[in-house]
Amino acid sequence: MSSLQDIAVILRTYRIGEADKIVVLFTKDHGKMRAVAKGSRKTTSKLGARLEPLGLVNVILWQGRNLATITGVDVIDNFAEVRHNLDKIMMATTMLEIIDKSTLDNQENDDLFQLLTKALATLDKNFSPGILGAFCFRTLMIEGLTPQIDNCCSCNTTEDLTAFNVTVGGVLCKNCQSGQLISQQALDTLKLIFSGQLAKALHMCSHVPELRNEIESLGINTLEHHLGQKLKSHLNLTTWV
Amino acid sequence: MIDELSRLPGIGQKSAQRLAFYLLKRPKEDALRLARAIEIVRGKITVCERCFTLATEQYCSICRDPLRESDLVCVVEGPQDLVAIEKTHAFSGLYHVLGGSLNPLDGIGPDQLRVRELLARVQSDSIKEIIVCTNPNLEGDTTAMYLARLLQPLGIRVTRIASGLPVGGDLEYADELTLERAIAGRQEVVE
Ligand SMILES: [Zn+2]
Ligand SMILES: [Zn+2]
Repeated sequence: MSSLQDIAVILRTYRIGEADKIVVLFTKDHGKMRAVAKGSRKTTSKLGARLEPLGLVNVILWQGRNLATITGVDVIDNFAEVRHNLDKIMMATTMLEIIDKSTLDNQENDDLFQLLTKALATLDKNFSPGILGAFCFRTLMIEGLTPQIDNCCSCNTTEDLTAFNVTVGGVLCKNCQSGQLISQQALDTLKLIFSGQLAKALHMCSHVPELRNEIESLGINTLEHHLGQKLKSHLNLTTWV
Repeated sequence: MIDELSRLPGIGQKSAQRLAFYLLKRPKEDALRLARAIEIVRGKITVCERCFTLATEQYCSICRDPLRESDLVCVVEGPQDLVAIEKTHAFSGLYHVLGGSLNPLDGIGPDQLRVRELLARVQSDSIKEIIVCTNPNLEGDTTAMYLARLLQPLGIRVTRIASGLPVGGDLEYADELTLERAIAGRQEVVE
Protein backbone atom coordinates (compact mmCIF):
# COMPACT_ATOMS: atom_id res chain seq x y z
CA MET A 1 0.00 0.00 0.00
CA SER A 2 1.25 3.43 -0.87
CA SER A 3 0.26 7.03 -1.39
CA LEU A 4 0.63 8.83 -4.70
CA GLN A 5 0.12 12.35 -5.96
CA ASP A 6 -0.69 13.40 -9.49
CA ILE A 7 -2.47 15.97 -11.66
CA ALA A 8 -5.69 14.67 -13.18
CA VAL A 9 -8.76 15.53 -15.19
CA ILE A 10 -11.96 14.03 -13.77
CA LEU A 11 -13.53 12.06 -16.59
CA ARG A 12 -16.66 10.92 -14.82
CA THR A 13 -18.11 9.74 -11.54
CA TYR A 14 -20.34 6.86 -10.51
CA ARG A 15 -22.53 6.83 -7.43
CA ILE A 16 -21.81 3.98 -5.09
CA GLY A 17 -23.36 3.13 -1.74
CA GLU A 18 -25.15 5.77 0.31
CA ALA A 19 -22.82 8.71 -0.06
CA ASP A 20 -19.70 7.63 -1.94
CA LYS A 21 -18.54 8.18 -5.49
CA ILE A 22 -16.20 6.28 -7.72
CA VAL A 23 -14.17 8.81 -9.64
CA VAL A 24 -12.54 8.05 -12.97
CA LEU A 25 -9.40 10.14 -13.21
CA PHE A 26 -7.14 10.70 -16.19
CA THR A 27 -3.83 11.37 -14.49
CA LYS A 28 -0.74 12.85 -16.06
CA ASP A 29 1.78 10.25 -14.91
CA HIS A 30 -0.32 7.17 -14.12
CA GLY A 31 -2.89 7.17 -16.90
CA LYS A 32 -6.55 6.46 -16.24
CA MET A 33 -7.35 5.44 -12.66
CA ARG A 34 -10.44 4.66 -10.64
CA ALA A 35 -10.68 5.74 -7.03
CA VAL A 36 -13.28 5.92 -4.28
CA ALA A 37 -14.16 9.27 -2.72
CA LYS A 38 -15.76 8.36 0.58
CA GLY A 39 -18.71 10.47 1.74
CA SER A 40 -18.31 12.80 -1.23
CA ARG A 41 -22.02 13.02 -2.04
CA LYS A 42 -22.88 14.56 1.31
CA THR A 43 -23.48 18.31 1.01
CA THR A 44 -20.97 18.90 3.79
CA SER A 45 -18.21 17.03 1.96
CA LYS A 46 -15.22 19.08 0.95
CA LEU A 47 -14.23 16.40 -1.53
CA GLY A 48 -17.57 16.40 -3.30
CA ALA A 49 -17.55 19.61 -5.30
CA ARG A 50 -13.89 19.22 -6.13
CA LEU A 51 -14.59 15.90 -7.78
CA GLU A 52 -17.11 16.95 -10.40
CA PRO A 53 -16.42 15.76 -13.96
CA LEU A 54 -14.36 18.21 -16.02
CA GLY A 55 -12.23 19.51 -13.15
CA LEU A 56 -8.44 19.66 -13.44
CA VAL A 57 -7.21 18.73 -9.98
CA ASN A 58 -4.20 17.88 -7.91
CA VAL A 59 -5.08 14.63 -6.27
CA ILE A 60 -3.64 12.47 -3.51
CA LEU A 61 -4.56 8.81 -3.61
CA TRP A 62 -4.05 6.00 -1.17
CA GLN A 63 -3.55 2.83 -3.10
CA GLY A 64 -4.93 -0.15 -1.24
CA ARG A 65 -5.08 -3.72 -2.40
CA ASN A 66 -8.18 -3.14 -4.52
CA LEU A 67 -9.49 0.30 -5.44
CA ALA A 68 -7.53 3.45 -4.61
CA THR A 69 -9.07 5.96 -2.18
CA ILE A 70 -8.94 9.71 -2.67
CA THR A 71 -7.53 11.36 0.43
CA GLY A 72 -6.98 14.89 -0.87
CA VAL A 73 -8.00 17.11 -3.79
CA ASP A 74 -7.04 20.63 -4.81
CA VAL A 75 -8.64 22.31 -7.78
CA ILE A 76 -6.24 23.66 -10.39
CA ASP A 77 -8.93 24.72 -12.89
CA ASN A 78 -12.69 24.19 -12.87
CA PHE A 79 -13.13 25.50 -16.43
CA ALA A 80 -15.93 27.71 -15.16
CA GLU A 81 -16.67 29.20 -18.58
CA VAL A 82 -17.23 25.74 -20.00
CA ARG A 83 -19.64 24.89 -17.19
CA HIS A 84 -21.69 28.02 -17.85
CA ASN A 85 -22.23 27.38 -21.55
CA LEU A 86 -24.40 24.55 -22.86
CA ASP A 87 -22.56 24.18 -26.19
CA LYS A 88 -19.19 24.14 -24.49
CA ILE A 89 -20.38 21.56 -21.93
CA MET A 90 -21.62 19.27 -24.68
CA MET A 91 -18.29 19.45 -26.49
CA ALA A 92 -16.26 19.01 -23.31
CA THR A 93 -18.24 15.97 -22.15
CA THR A 94 -17.74 14.36 -25.55
CA MET A 95 -13.99 14.92 -25.15
CA LEU A 96 -14.11 13.31 -21.70
CA GLU A 97 -15.95 10.31 -23.08
CA ILE A 98 -13.48 9.96 -25.96
CA ILE A 99 -10.56 9.90 -23.52
CA ASP A 100 -12.37 7.46 -21.22
CA LYS A 101 -13.13 5.09 -24.08
CA SER A 102 -9.76 5.28 -25.84
CA THR A 103 -7.58 4.63 -22.79
CA LEU A 104 -6.87 1.62 -20.62
CA ASP A 105 -6.42 1.78 -16.86
CA ASN A 106 -2.98 2.59 -15.48
CA GLN A 107 -1.33 3.32 -18.83
CA GLU A 108 0.40 6.64 -18.89
CA ASN A 109 -0.28 8.72 -22.01
CA ASP A 110 1.17 12.16 -21.65
CA ASP A 111 0.34 13.22 -25.23
CA LEU A 112 -3.37 12.56 -24.66
CA PHE A 113 -3.21 14.28 -21.29
CA GLN A 114 -1.68 17.39 -22.86
CA LEU A 115 -4.23 17.30 -25.68
CA LEU A 116 -7.17 17.11 -23.27
CA THR A 117 -5.99 19.81 -20.89
CA LYS A 118 -5.09 22.16 -23.75
CA ALA A 119 -8.41 21.58 -25.50
CA LEU A 120 -10.38 22.26 -22.30
CA ALA A 121 -8.36 25.41 -21.61
CA THR A 122 -8.94 26.65 -25.17
CA LEU A 123 -12.65 25.93 -24.94
CA ASP A 124 -12.75 27.77 -21.62
CA LYS A 125 -11.09 30.90 -23.02
CA ASN A 126 -13.05 31.33 -26.20
CA PHE A 127 -15.64 29.50 -28.19
CA SER A 128 -13.94 27.68 -31.04
CA PRO A 129 -16.65 25.70 -32.80
CA GLY A 130 -14.13 23.49 -34.63
CA ILE A 131 -12.38 22.30 -31.52
CA LEU A 132 -14.24 19.01 -31.05
CA GLY A 133 -13.52 17.90 -34.61
CA ALA A 134 -9.86 18.85 -34.25
CA PHE A 135 -9.74 17.03 -30.91
CA CYS A 136 -11.05 13.83 -32.51
CA PHE A 137 -8.39 13.84 -35.22
CA ARG A 138 -5.57 14.72 -32.82
CA THR A 139 -6.66 11.80 -30.61
CA LEU A 140 -6.59 9.48 -33.63
CA MET A 141 -3.12 10.76 -34.46
CA ILE A 142 -1.79 10.13 -30.95
CA GLU A 143 -3.26 6.63 -31.05
CA GLY A 144 -1.47 5.94 -34.36
CA LEU A 145 -4.71 5.93 -36.34
CA THR A 146 -4.15 8.97 -38.58
CA PRO A 147 -6.31 8.58 -41.69
CA GLN A 148 -4.53 8.82 -45.02
CA ILE A 149 -5.53 12.11 -46.66
CA ASP A 150 -2.79 12.94 -49.17
CA ASN A 151 -3.53 10.27 -51.72
CA CYS A 152 -6.32 7.90 -52.65
CA CYS A 153 -6.40 4.82 -50.44
CA SER A 154 -7.20 2.68 -53.45
CA CYS A 155 -5.19 3.90 -56.50
CA ASN A 156 -2.76 6.28 -54.77
CA THR A 157 -3.51 9.28 -56.96
CA THR A 158 -3.29 12.76 -55.42
CA GLU A 159 -5.81 14.21 -57.90
CA ASP A 160 -9.56 14.67 -57.40
CA LEU A 161 -9.82 13.42 -53.83
CA THR A 162 -13.55 13.56 -53.20
CA ALA A 163 -14.55 10.96 -50.61
CA PHE A 164 -13.64 9.81 -47.12
CA ASN A 165 -14.16 6.24 -46.01
CA VAL A 166 -13.29 5.11 -42.47
CA THR A 167 -13.23 1.46 -43.37
CA VAL A 168 -10.48 1.94 -45.98
CA GLY A 169 -8.63 4.34 -43.69
CA GLY A 170 -8.81 7.65 -45.48
CA VAL A 171 -9.64 9.51 -48.67
CA LEU A 172 -10.59 8.16 -52.09
CA CYS A 173 -10.47 9.74 -55.53
CA LYS A 174 -13.38 10.41 -57.83
CA ASN A 175 -12.94 7.07 -59.61
CA CYS A 176 -12.60 4.92 -56.49
CA GLN A 177 -14.99 6.88 -54.32
CA SER A 178 -17.06 5.24 -51.54
CA GLY A 179 -18.06 6.24 -48.02
CA GLN A 180 -19.01 9.90 -47.56
CA LEU A 181 -18.13 12.89 -49.72
CA ILE A 182 -15.55 15.32 -48.41
CA SER A 183 -15.12 18.97 -49.40
CA GLN A 184 -11.80 20.43 -50.52
CA GLN A 185 -12.02 22.85 -47.61
CA ALA A 186 -12.38 19.98 -45.14
CA LEU A 187 -9.35 18.26 -46.69
CA ASP A 188 -7.32 21.45 -46.31
CA THR A 189 -8.47 21.77 -42.70
CA LEU A 190 -7.50 18.17 -41.92
CA LYS A 191 -4.03 18.84 -43.36
CA LEU A 192 -3.70 21.80 -41.02
CA ILE A 193 -4.83 19.67 -38.05
CA PHE A 194 -2.37 16.87 -38.83
CA SER A 195 0.54 19.25 -39.36
CA GLY A 196 -0.07 20.86 -35.99
CA GLN A 197 -1.43 24.16 -37.33
CA LEU A 198 -4.44 24.00 -35.02
CA ALA A 199 -4.97 27.74 -34.65
CA LYS A 200 -5.32 28.06 -38.43
CA ALA A 201 -7.69 25.08 -38.60
CA LEU A 202 -9.89 26.44 -35.80
CA HIS A 203 -9.90 29.83 -37.48
CA MET A 204 -11.20 28.29 -40.71
CA CYS A 205 -13.93 26.38 -38.86
CA SER A 206 -15.09 29.39 -36.90
CA HIS A 207 -15.89 31.24 -40.13
CA VAL A 208 -17.72 28.44 -41.92
CA PRO A 209 -20.35 26.58 -39.83
CA GLU A 210 -20.78 23.79 -42.44
CA LEU A 211 -17.04 23.14 -42.35
CA ARG A 212 -17.13 22.80 -38.59
CA ASN A 213 -19.98 20.27 -38.84
CA GLU A 214 -18.21 18.36 -41.59
CA ILE A 215 -14.94 18.04 -39.64
CA GLU A 216 -16.80 17.17 -36.44
CA SER A 217 -18.93 14.44 -37.96
CA LEU A 218 -15.91 13.00 -39.85
CA GLY A 219 -13.94 12.97 -36.60
CA ILE A 220 -16.72 11.44 -34.51
CA ASN A 221 -17.49 8.79 -37.15
CA THR A 222 -13.85 7.82 -37.51
CA LEU A 223 -13.40 7.57 -33.73
CA GLU A 224 -16.60 5.56 -33.31
CA HIS A 225 -15.39 3.22 -36.03
CA HIS A 226 -12.09 2.59 -34.24
CA LEU A 227 -13.68 2.37 -30.79
CA GLY A 228 -16.25 -0.06 -32.13
CA GLN A 229 -19.03 1.81 -30.31
CA LYS A 230 -21.15 4.96 -30.40
CA LEU A 231 -20.23 7.98 -28.31
CA LYS A 232 -23.14 8.50 -25.91
CA SER A 233 -22.41 12.10 -25.10
CA HIS A 234 -22.56 13.26 -28.70
CA LEU A 235 -26.24 14.12 -28.23
CA ASN A 236 -27.99 16.54 -30.46
CA LEU A 237 -30.07 18.62 -28.10
CA THR A 238 -32.04 20.55 -30.64
CA THR A 239 -33.43 17.99 -33.08
CA TRP A 240 -36.49 16.69 -31.32
CA VAL A 241 -38.29 19.90 -30.36
CA MET B 1 -35.38 -12.94 0.61
CA ILE B 2 -31.73 -11.87 0.99
CA ASP B 3 -31.47 -11.51 -2.78
CA GLU B 4 -34.61 -9.37 -2.90
CA LEU B 5 -33.46 -7.13 -0.04
CA SER B 6 -29.99 -6.65 -1.48
CA ARG B 7 -31.56 -5.12 -4.59
CA LEU B 8 -32.71 -2.13 -2.52
CA PRO B 9 -30.57 1.02 -2.88
CA GLY B 10 -27.75 1.23 -0.37
CA ILE B 11 -28.25 -2.34 0.84
CA GLY B 12 -25.35 -4.71 0.27
CA GLN B 13 -25.30 -8.48 0.70
CA LYS B 14 -24.28 -8.16 4.36
CA SER B 15 -27.00 -5.66 5.32
CA ALA B 16 -29.57 -7.74 3.45
CA GLN B 17 -28.57 -10.75 5.49
CA ARG B 18 -28.88 -8.76 8.72
CA LEU B 19 -32.34 -7.45 7.75
CA ALA B 20 -33.53 -10.91 6.75
CA PHE B 21 -32.44 -12.50 10.01
CA TYR B 22 -33.99 -9.63 11.96
CA LEU B 23 -37.33 -10.13 10.21
CA LEU B 24 -37.21 -13.87 10.86
CA LYS B 25 -36.35 -13.43 14.53
CA ARG B 26 -39.26 -11.04 15.21
CA PRO B 27 -42.83 -12.31 15.81
CA LYS B 28 -44.46 -13.42 12.57
CA GLU B 29 -47.01 -10.57 12.82
CA ASP B 30 -44.31 -7.88 12.54
CA ALA B 31 -42.96 -9.20 9.29
CA LEU B 32 -46.44 -9.68 7.83
CA ARG B 33 -47.40 -6.13 8.80
CA LEU B 34 -44.45 -4.84 6.76
CA ALA B 35 -45.39 -7.05 3.83
CA ARG B 36 -48.98 -5.79 3.95
CA ALA B 37 -47.90 -2.16 4.18
CA ILE B 38 -45.75 -2.58 1.07
CA GLU B 39 -48.58 -4.31 -0.76
CA ILE B 40 -51.15 -1.62 0.10
CA VAL B 41 -48.94 1.36 -0.72
CA ARG B 42 -47.53 -0.18 -3.89
CA GLY B 43 -51.00 -1.05 -5.07
CA LYS B 44 -52.40 2.44 -4.52
CA ILE B 45 -49.53 4.61 -5.69
CA THR B 46 -49.49 5.90 -9.22
CA VAL B 47 -47.90 8.89 -10.88
CA CYS B 48 -49.62 12.29 -10.98
CA GLU B 49 -50.74 12.97 -14.53
CA ARG B 50 -49.73 16.59 -14.35
CA CYS B 51 -46.48 16.79 -12.39
CA PHE B 52 -45.38 13.12 -12.35
CA THR B 53 -44.75 12.89 -8.64
CA LEU B 54 -46.13 9.95 -6.68
CA ALA B 55 -49.86 10.18 -6.10
CA THR B 56 -52.78 8.08 -4.92
CA GLU B 57 -55.23 9.63 -7.40
CA GLN B 58 -55.12 10.97 -10.94
CA TYR B 59 -53.55 14.19 -9.64
CA CYS B 60 -51.33 14.55 -6.58
CA SER B 61 -52.41 16.52 -3.50
CA ILE B 62 -50.28 19.50 -4.53
CA CYS B 63 -51.77 19.73 -8.03
CA ARG B 64 -55.26 19.46 -6.50
CA ASP B 65 -54.65 22.24 -3.97
CA PRO B 66 -56.41 25.42 -5.27
CA LEU B 67 -54.23 27.61 -3.05
CA ARG B 68 -51.01 26.76 -4.85
CA GLU B 69 -49.74 29.29 -7.42
CA SER B 70 -50.31 27.57 -10.73
CA ASP B 71 -48.17 29.91 -12.85
CA LEU B 72 -45.00 29.01 -10.95
CA VAL B 73 -43.48 25.58 -11.56
CA CYS B 74 -40.50 24.08 -9.81
CA VAL B 75 -38.65 21.48 -11.90
CA VAL B 76 -37.03 18.70 -9.85
CA GLU B 77 -35.18 15.51 -10.76
CA GLY B 78 -37.19 13.15 -8.56
CA PRO B 79 -40.05 12.93 -6.03
CA GLN B 80 -37.54 12.89 -3.15
CA ASP B 81 -36.43 16.43 -4.16
CA LEU B 82 -40.05 17.58 -4.12
CA VAL B 83 -40.41 16.24 -0.56
CA ALA B 84 -37.25 18.09 0.50
CA ILE B 85 -38.51 21.40 -0.92
CA GLU B 86 -41.99 20.93 0.58
CA LYS B 87 -40.38 20.57 4.02
CA THR B 88 -39.03 24.13 3.77
CA HIS B 89 -42.56 25.60 3.36
CA ALA B 90 -40.81 28.22 1.20
CA PHE B 91 -42.42 27.33 -2.09
CA SER B 92 -46.09 27.71 -2.95
CA GLY B 93 -46.16 26.84 -6.65
CA LEU B 94 -46.50 23.52 -8.47
CA TYR B 95 -43.89 20.96 -9.44
CA HIS B 96 -42.68 19.02 -12.44
CA VAL B 97 -40.70 15.81 -11.88
CA LEU B 98 -38.25 15.28 -14.75
CA GLY B 99 -37.22 11.79 -13.77
CA GLY B 100 -33.51 12.55 -13.79
CA SER B 101 -31.17 15.09 -15.32
CA LEU B 102 -29.46 15.57 -18.67
CA ASN B 103 -26.41 13.41 -18.48
CA PRO B 104 -24.43 13.40 -21.72
CA LEU B 105 -21.83 10.99 -20.32
CA ASP B 106 -24.54 8.38 -19.88
CA GLY B 107 -26.34 9.33 -23.06
CA ILE B 108 -29.36 10.68 -21.15
CA GLY B 109 -30.87 13.38 -23.32
CA PRO B 110 -34.21 15.23 -23.26
CA ASP B 111 -35.96 12.20 -24.75
CA GLN B 112 -35.17 10.08 -21.70
CA LEU B 113 -36.67 12.74 -19.38
CA ARG B 114 -40.13 14.30 -19.06
CA VAL B 115 -39.13 17.35 -21.08
CA ARG B 116 -41.80 16.98 -23.76
CA GLU B 117 -44.39 16.81 -20.96
CA LEU B 118 -42.98 20.00 -19.44
CA LEU B 119 -43.12 21.73 -22.80
CA ALA B 120 -46.74 20.63 -23.22
CA ARG B 121 -47.61 22.04 -19.78
CA VAL B 122 -45.91 25.31 -20.56
CA GLN B 123 -47.86 25.57 -23.80
CA SER B 124 -51.26 24.69 -22.33
CA ASP B 125 -51.23 26.00 -18.73
CA SER B 126 -50.47 29.65 -18.15
CA ILE B 127 -47.05 29.23 -16.61
CA LYS B 128 -44.97 32.38 -16.09
CA GLU B 129 -41.90 31.07 -14.34
CA ILE B 130 -39.96 27.82 -14.18
CA ILE B 131 -37.56 27.37 -11.26
CA VAL B 132 -34.98 24.72 -12.07
CA CYS B 133 -34.18 22.86 -8.85
CA THR B 134 -31.93 20.15 -10.24
CA ASN B 135 -28.87 19.04 -8.29
CA PRO B 136 -25.99 21.53 -8.18
CA ASN B 137 -23.66 19.37 -10.28
CA LEU B 138 -22.60 19.18 -13.93
CA GLU B 139 -25.74 17.28 -14.99
CA GLY B 140 -28.10 19.52 -13.02
CA ASP B 141 -26.52 22.65 -14.46
CA THR B 142 -26.61 21.25 -17.97
CA THR B 143 -30.32 20.52 -17.50
CA ALA B 144 -30.96 24.07 -16.31
CA MET B 145 -29.18 25.63 -19.27
CA TYR B 146 -30.96 23.36 -21.69
CA LEU B 147 -34.40 24.19 -20.22
CA ALA B 148 -33.55 27.89 -20.41
CA ARG B 149 -32.66 27.52 -24.09
CA LEU B 150 -35.88 25.60 -24.71
CA LEU B 151 -38.34 27.71 -22.73
CA GLN B 152 -37.06 31.28 -22.74
CA PRO B 153 -37.95 31.80 -26.42
CA LEU B 154 -41.55 31.01 -25.40
CA GLY B 155 -41.54 33.98 -23.07
CA ILE B 156 -41.15 31.91 -19.91
CA ARG B 157 -38.92 33.17 -17.14
CA VAL B 158 -36.44 30.40 -16.30
CA THR B 159 -34.63 30.69 -12.97
CA ARG B 160 -32.18 28.44 -11.16
CA ILE B 161 -32.04 27.92 -7.39
CA ALA B 162 -29.09 29.71 -5.86
CA SER B 163 -26.09 27.67 -4.82
CA GLY B 164 -24.21 28.75 -1.78
CA LEU B 165 -22.46 27.89 1.41
CA PRO B 166 -23.98 25.45 3.87
CA VAL B 167 -25.49 27.22 6.88
CA GLY B 168 -23.24 26.90 9.90
CA GLY B 169 -20.10 26.20 7.88
CA ASP B 170 -16.83 28.11 7.80
CA LEU B 171 -16.03 30.09 4.66
CA GLU B 172 -12.36 29.13 4.68
CA TYR B 173 -13.24 25.46 4.36
CA ALA B 174 -15.56 25.89 1.40
CA ASP B 175 -14.56 24.36 -1.92
CA GLU B 176 -13.75 26.67 -4.85
CA LEU B 177 -16.75 25.71 -6.98
CA THR B 178 -19.26 26.42 -4.21
CA LEU B 179 -17.51 29.65 -3.25
CA GLU B 180 -17.40 30.82 -6.87
CA ARG B 181 -21.16 30.28 -7.17
CA ALA B 182 -21.87 31.90 -3.84
CA ILE B 183 -20.02 35.02 -5.01
CA ALA B 184 -21.71 35.00 -8.42
CA GLY B 185 -25.12 34.65 -6.76
CA ARG B 186 -24.56 37.37 -4.14
CA GLN B 187 -27.49 39.47 -2.98
CA GLU B 188 -28.01 42.96 -1.68
CA VAL B 189 -27.87 43.10 2.10
CA VAL B 190 -31.25 44.27 3.38
CA GLU B 191 -31.56 45.51 6.91
ZN1 LIG C 1 -8.45 6.22 -56.51
ZN1 LIG D 1 -49.13 16.64 -9.31
